[in-house]
Amino acid sequence: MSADARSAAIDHADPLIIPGSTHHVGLAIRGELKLYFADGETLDCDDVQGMSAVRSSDEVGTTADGRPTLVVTRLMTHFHSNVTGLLIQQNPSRPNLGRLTGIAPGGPETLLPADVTFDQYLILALRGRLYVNTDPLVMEAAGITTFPPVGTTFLSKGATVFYDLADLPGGITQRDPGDAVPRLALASQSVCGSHLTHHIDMPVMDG
Amino acid sequence: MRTDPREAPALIVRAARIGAVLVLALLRAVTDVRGLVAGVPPAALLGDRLAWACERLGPAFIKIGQLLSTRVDIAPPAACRALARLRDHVPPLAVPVAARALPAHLAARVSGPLTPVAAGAVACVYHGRLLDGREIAVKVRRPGIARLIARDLALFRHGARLLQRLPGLRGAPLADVAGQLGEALLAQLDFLGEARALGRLRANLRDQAAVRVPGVLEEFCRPDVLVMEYVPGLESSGRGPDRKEAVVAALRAVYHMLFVDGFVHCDLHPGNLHPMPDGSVVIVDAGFSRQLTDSGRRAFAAFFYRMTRGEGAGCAEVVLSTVLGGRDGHDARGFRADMDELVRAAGGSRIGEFDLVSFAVRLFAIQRRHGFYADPQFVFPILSLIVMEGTLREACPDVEFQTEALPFVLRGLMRRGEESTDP
Repeated sequence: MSADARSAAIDHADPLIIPGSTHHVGLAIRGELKLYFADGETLDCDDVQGMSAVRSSDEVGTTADGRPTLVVTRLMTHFHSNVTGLLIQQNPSRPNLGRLTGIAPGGPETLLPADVTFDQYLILALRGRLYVNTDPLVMEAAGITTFPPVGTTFLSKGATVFYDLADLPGGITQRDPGDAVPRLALASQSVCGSHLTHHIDMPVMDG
Repeated sequence: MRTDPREAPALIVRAARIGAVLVLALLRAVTDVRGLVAGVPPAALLGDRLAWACERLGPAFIKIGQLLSTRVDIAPPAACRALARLRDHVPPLAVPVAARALPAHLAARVSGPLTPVAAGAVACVYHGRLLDGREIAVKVRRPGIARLIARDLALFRHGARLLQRLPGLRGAPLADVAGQLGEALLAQLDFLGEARALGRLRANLRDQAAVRVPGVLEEFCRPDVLVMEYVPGLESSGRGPDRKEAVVAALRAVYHMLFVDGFVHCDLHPGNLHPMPDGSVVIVDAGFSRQLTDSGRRAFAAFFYRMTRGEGAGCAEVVLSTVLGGRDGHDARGFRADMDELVRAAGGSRIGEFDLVSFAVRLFAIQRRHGFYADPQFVFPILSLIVMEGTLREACPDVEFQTEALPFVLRGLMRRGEESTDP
């Protein structure tokens, strides 16, 4: 059975597939990733593509108003823009944690439709320099109806500033930028949709 | 300031008149049964009567009333709105009188008569032409006005200090407020200072293609005469199909001032902001401008950055880093919690949906409630936005103000300039 056929066999709209799931998908992000520089230059990177995986916790909690919620983790290898040369990687010293929360009250069976948010800590490589963020780049999607949320619009909340790694004595592990001045900022203010280019499910091996 | 004994009788007469008009205004406010029955807020009634008093007390009070109308951090918004109706409705200085005020080397190079184009309580503006053909705008300070205003300001400050001793007003920073308003007013009388401010704004905004600040002809300027290039069409500005475009250009210019340069025109009311028919905007009258310190500029940019991310706690930390110490019993934890709630509740990213005055009033109230005093470095940027809020709401209510601000906020965060203490 091919990966595509197996993917088609899974009902991605079934909320019960979410707890404890692992989905490795190739994502093609389209839309605006915009970089801002100190001198006023802006750089549009609208051809960013890359690999991403989403893992979800198998523990489903409940919010104060009775909605099901669980922790999700996004794993990125790299995203790349051919046109601008921008390379985006996950900062390996910090997890990209997020949360998926069902819109309706109930148990795991109401995990969809849901609101999803991810806090992303990244390393940007551009023009020979490396940049990291200490505030999370928050990506949000409202009312997703399938999982993983392929084809869903994710928006970043405002913009996020990045520091030149050379300005941070603690390197990629530094949490507080101290007196360092941000060197660029990244915002994704328009559609950041994605589509599934391939899907590999990871069956649990017994014994 | 020491008073010349020879002026004492005139000062006493003037003080008596000021006192009588203010008492009459107060009596009219508290006895306005019709207004109270109609549900007009007491602060609005008081503001309305205060405006009435200012009109009767002359240019210093009109200007102070205008300045006070922008200070929602110290006066109730309803009173500020009432005071905002104060405008200078005065006839221009006669042309021969204005012509006599011109420096000789300018008068010798003016071709033909001056034509009045605007008149205010403090100064009048005339259109003229130089012998070389250049058209100029000449702003002439009314003769004797500086002395009159200095006298009224001295009385104003004395009055504020006396009021501060009354039960119920003890501890209120009336003298500080009077000092700030007086300082702003005196700055508007110094046309050489305004010439420098216009020059700085023009240089700072040179890359904003849709924004125009008239050039100054420095060689002809004096403390009481300001000579600028003449911009035709200002008298009939404000109309045209590209009005919205022009006002958005003005908003971007203000964001540039606030976040990137830190040199801010604090008085961009409709009379100083001229949307032109071609979608450009002309900014004039930079007499009330402020240079933020570099740390103040960056703090304001950081506050806005945290706002755009919906991070109330982050906003609280920025404000706490700028407040002028706390009085005894200040409560940083309570301040953080209230700020978090304020930022969460601040709905609407479009200009028409976000009530800046209400947000600012609550912000300043939260500071006071928890025992903190706002740093003027943080107050003036907010006030400068409030002054132009009416124009923005009317011309471009659907514009996303945070989206427009973002490029300037980010540049401001990424820029570290010289630390300046120049006021």
